[in-house]
Amino acid sequence: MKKIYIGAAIIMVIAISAIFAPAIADYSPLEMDLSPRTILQKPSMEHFFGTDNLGRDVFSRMLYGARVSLSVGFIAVIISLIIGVLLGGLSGYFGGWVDAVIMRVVEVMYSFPTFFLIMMVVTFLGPSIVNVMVVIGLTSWAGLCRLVRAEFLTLRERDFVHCAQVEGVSNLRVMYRHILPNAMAPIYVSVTLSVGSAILIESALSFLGLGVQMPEASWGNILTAGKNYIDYAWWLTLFPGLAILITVLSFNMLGDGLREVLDPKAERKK
Amino acid sequence: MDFNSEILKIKNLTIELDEKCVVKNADISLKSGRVTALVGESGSGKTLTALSILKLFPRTARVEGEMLFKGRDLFKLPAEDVRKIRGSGIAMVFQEPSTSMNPVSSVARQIGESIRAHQKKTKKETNLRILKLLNMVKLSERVFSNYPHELSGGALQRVTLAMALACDPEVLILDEATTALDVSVQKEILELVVNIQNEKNLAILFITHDFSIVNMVAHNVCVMKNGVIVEKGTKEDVLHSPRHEYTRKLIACVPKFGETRKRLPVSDYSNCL
Repeated sequence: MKKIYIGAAIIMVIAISAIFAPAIADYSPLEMDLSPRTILQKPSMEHFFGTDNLGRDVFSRMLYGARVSLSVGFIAVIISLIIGVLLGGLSGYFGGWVDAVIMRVVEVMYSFPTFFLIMMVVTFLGPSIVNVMVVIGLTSWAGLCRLVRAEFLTLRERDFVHCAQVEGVSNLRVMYRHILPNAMAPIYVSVTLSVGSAILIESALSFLGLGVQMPEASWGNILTAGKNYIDYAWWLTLFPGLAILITVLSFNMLGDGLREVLDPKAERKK
Repeated sequence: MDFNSEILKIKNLTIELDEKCVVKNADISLKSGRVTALVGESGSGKTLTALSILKLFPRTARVEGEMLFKGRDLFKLPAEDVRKIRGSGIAMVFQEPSTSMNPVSSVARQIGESIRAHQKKTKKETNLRILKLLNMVKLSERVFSNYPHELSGGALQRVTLAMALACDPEVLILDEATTALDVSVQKEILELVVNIQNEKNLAILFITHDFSIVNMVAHNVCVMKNGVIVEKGTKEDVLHSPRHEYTRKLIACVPKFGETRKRLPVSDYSNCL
């Protein structure tokens, strides 16, 4: 239970600071000041996380970077949620050849090394935040699809589903009104966990220069810029690194906590 | 009232599951205003027969025969037409009331599902209809917004009955509808069913293994063994002068006060006659 509260609290703090970034940040994330007094300044009361090689305030850049990370995380997951639930639901409910076709597609998706697939697609389409969101969303639905299918397979044979069918309720309505609400628990868990991994993928892509492009800030590309100065400006890599770590960790904690609460069976196995 | 119109006729129904035939050449006909009991031990194919009436057999099943509802063969109708008959023409109540309700949806919503599926009604009309149905099954209007886990088994079975009656079906299938309830609640539900049946002139197929229930509600009786209907006739004939050996054994199983219970010899499922 504690996990949920800690995870949710940290996520709330990060989300609020991302939403109100313009109000919180004292400096513009893009404004450069190349005078020797302002570049590569150590963290101080003036610049909480110091300044980078172009004299930009790292704290402000990270606030704006949080917007990128969170929005990529959420939107990518929403895309994969829609595809995964839709295909998984159809597959589990109808079975037969529908199931066979969708499951083969899922297996193909699984057998690709996703990260390289994403890198390749982004290289072709050109790196941009929208492309990154869409590509992560389009490549990460396979696990959710299988999960939803498994849930639908068991729920499909439950009496209340037969009962609804006997009442003449149409298949689509049975699916979203009677089966889906009962399958939500594992979906919540899986979605929460995949927000974390989507943020991680976005950071990795930005770090490699395939995600958010300079001078726009993202945790990944602040890291990239900082790695050249790692010997004498530790704050350039430490803070964005920590931010990624803490964010992903809190999503995982939230997801784990949700699993313990929503799926008592899993807990008992421990 | 027309007691003789044959509303549902099952003709030559044969169901094969994994190369094994579980129902063979079953003929049953239901008439408006009459209760037909389908009796047999577990595994005899009663439930499968009932499910097949609404084309809800398992995916792997092979089904032959005719299912004539008002002269139309349900087995030959397109899926959408069958869906329209489900609930509005033929409705069904299942054995276990607690599992036949969706745990995450309120009583009113679930009764409303059937109305919504078949009739164009405003929300207000639907709610009025739901209240009327709750009245009909003698439930307090307070259960309207309750969730299934908040109600007792007997109350839940009344709700499922209300769900089945929501669109005024002409045929009602009760699949062991009182088996999961204790005896006193069972009696109340049976009385309710009989009252409603008289009032609405319903044709009922009552699936059970309990001859005391048959005695209470049925007009006609079919006895099923290993997927074959071994005896059928009026209640009086079957209960008082059973012709088939199996029927006699089943009747002998009904416990009588002060008597040691006779058990039904377990039948051999491997052969299918």
